[in-house]
Amino acid sequence: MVEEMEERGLGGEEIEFLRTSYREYYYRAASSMWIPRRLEAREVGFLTFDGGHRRHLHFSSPGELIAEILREIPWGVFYSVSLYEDPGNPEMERKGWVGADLVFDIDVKDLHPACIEEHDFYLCNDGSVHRLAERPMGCRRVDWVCPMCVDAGRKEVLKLLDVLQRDMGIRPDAISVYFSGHRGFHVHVEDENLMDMGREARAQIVDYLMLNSYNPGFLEGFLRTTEDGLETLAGWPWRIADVLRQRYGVPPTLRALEALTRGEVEAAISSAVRDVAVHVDPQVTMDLSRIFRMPTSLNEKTGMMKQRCADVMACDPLKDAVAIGDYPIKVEISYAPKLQIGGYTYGPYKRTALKLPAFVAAFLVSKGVAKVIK
Amino acid sequence: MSFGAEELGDLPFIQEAGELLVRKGYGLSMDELVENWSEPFVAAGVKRARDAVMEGRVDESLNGMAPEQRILSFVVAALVVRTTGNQYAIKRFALAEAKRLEERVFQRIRSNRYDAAVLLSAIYSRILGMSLERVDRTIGPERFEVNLGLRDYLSLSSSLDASKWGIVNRVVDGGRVYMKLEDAARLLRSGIADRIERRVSSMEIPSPPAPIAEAAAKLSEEVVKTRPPPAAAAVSVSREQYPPCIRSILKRLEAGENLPHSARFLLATFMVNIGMPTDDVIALFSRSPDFNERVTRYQVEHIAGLRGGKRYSVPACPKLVAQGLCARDDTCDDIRNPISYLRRRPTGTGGGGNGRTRPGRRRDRISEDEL
Ligand SMILES: [Zn+2]
Repeated sequence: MVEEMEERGLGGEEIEFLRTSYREYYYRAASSMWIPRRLEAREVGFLTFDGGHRRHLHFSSPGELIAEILREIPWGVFYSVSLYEDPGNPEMERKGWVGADLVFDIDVKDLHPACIEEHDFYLCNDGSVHRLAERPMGCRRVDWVCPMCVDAGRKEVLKLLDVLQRDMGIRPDAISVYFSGHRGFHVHVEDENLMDMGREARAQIVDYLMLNSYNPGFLEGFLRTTEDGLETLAGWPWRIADVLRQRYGVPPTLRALEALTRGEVEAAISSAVRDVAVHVDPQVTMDLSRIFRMPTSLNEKTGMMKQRCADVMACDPLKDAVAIGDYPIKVEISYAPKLQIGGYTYGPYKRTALKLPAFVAAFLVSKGVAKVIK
Repeated sequence: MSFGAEELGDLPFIQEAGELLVRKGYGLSMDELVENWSEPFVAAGVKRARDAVMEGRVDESLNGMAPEQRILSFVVAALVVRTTGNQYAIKRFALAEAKRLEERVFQRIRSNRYDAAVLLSAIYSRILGMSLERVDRTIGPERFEVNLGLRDYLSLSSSLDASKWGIVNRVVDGGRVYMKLEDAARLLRSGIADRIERRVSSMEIPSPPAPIAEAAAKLSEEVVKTRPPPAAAAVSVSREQYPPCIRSILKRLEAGENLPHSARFLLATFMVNIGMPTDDVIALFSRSPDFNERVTRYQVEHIAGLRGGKRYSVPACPKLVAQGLCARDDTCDDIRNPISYLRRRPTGTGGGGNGRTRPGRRRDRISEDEL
């Protein structure tokens, strides 16, 4: 982490600015911070501004946790999705695992929206900027975020919610969706019934969502029916049939598909599978010893907060997740693509010095593309 | 439904079976059992224990005995197996008994599907505490007769072949997994085996009567003689150099766990690809409670390309991550296949390697297509 700070060009001034902004946010938000339920059974971890990690922290009440956040002013705040008998024990095997929330991480990078090639870039030590395709040696990749990224993530969240609710029967009120504060969405499921699932069961759930080990014969078998029969489908067979119906404009019975695809039914199914599969990060769901970013805490990659998205269709995280104030800060920017944040558009900038609202400056400084000018 | 005597004869490990014995005038204490020592159930029980542990099956001639005799023979068999004190024997016994129950349910399905559905759902709820709902639902061309809650299904299916039993290859709707009766019967096996294993392991036999002790000693001897020792470390690669996913599987295997199909496939392809002889690979699996040499040999030889010609390569890391088998450590950074780990891992502890040294000399045998 220390290396990463140096790599991002974060010097004393930059750290000082970020820390002051974070302190101001946490003091203002102290009374409305989101606290995990059953906090006393969770491990808490901080990423600190000196570049270190403090793990295996343990708090028996929300007040204690908030007091420690205000004392430390961490760069990142994380909590364990797992519940433990002894959450403060530094040895994983001795914590006494009791159960875990079911969580999903949708990382926009894995969805490959076209905008990524447009706005992500490489920044080299000599200040030169390169497109992704150039892959220059020894330079640092800078990830950007734009409304298209958010929409790609939003679309994937909706796919995930549909499977969780319709197939897995999880009640909508047990599911919460959050914008990660950077370029992804986190979906938390708090269902007592699913808490005690181990790693393998979670791997099966991930496999279900991603359709990794689907058996083509299984899906094809369900299309071996009549048009009326198609109406009775459920689960993945139903979604696959739905995609095929939209694609070919007719009820996709196996007989119809064979004629339409000239016998390439399996290829048609596998293309439909690519459409409906939900892309989540498998490790995040399966790794029960992981600590996860805490909602309403600030994301060290941007200075934005991990923000609840109550209405996935309507939420506007690049506006709503702005948490740092808008007092002016003078920065020197080496390079920044267009940035849409807080309801306005900034940039693009190249080798320029100017005053910007603190939350924009915090984004650019966190990305390592701007320095604070005193 | 409450189980009738006929059903209880096939469910000898549940409490009601004991109650039936009492109703039929048999005492449950060791002394009372010894009083009836000349009855046929004793010899049947000793044979039942031996068949289950050594052959992995229970003799069908038991089916002709009266229910209480069947239950008593189970009690004797359990006493013998418990007295061996051998956890592997207990696991083998439990598995064979679970298979026997499954076979009995299959017979019932063949004779009367309705009755079988009632019986299955009673077994799920009374023995496993799970709700197997009876339904009549047509989904496309298939007609489903039962469904089980997702979490329960997952807890029972983990050791089964994912291409058939993975939830991705099932109809999952409203939190329930839809099945036909045959699947529900097969799915019982691991849950029932667990139940029997726990039941037998928890039996306290301070001083087993002589006939039990003798039968147990004989069985013990036979188990030790035929169960092969753990295989020597593969070729020139020592176990400490294996990637963490492989070490973790070996550990689970040694703990007597029934591994999921995906874990077995990974272990077999890895060992075959680092050049372990087929017999040694098969011997590794012999520690598994449900070991069947013929099936394992066929599978391993298939993986090794001795049947069908194509040798299988080791699944790539992303696949293992998806299957829940990845147990990454720092050396795993950037490697895409467990085999590559062997090249990364410095040999010895003196730090002599540059991280690229590869132990072993059979480079030519390693499949390169996924590296
Ligand atoms: Zn974008």
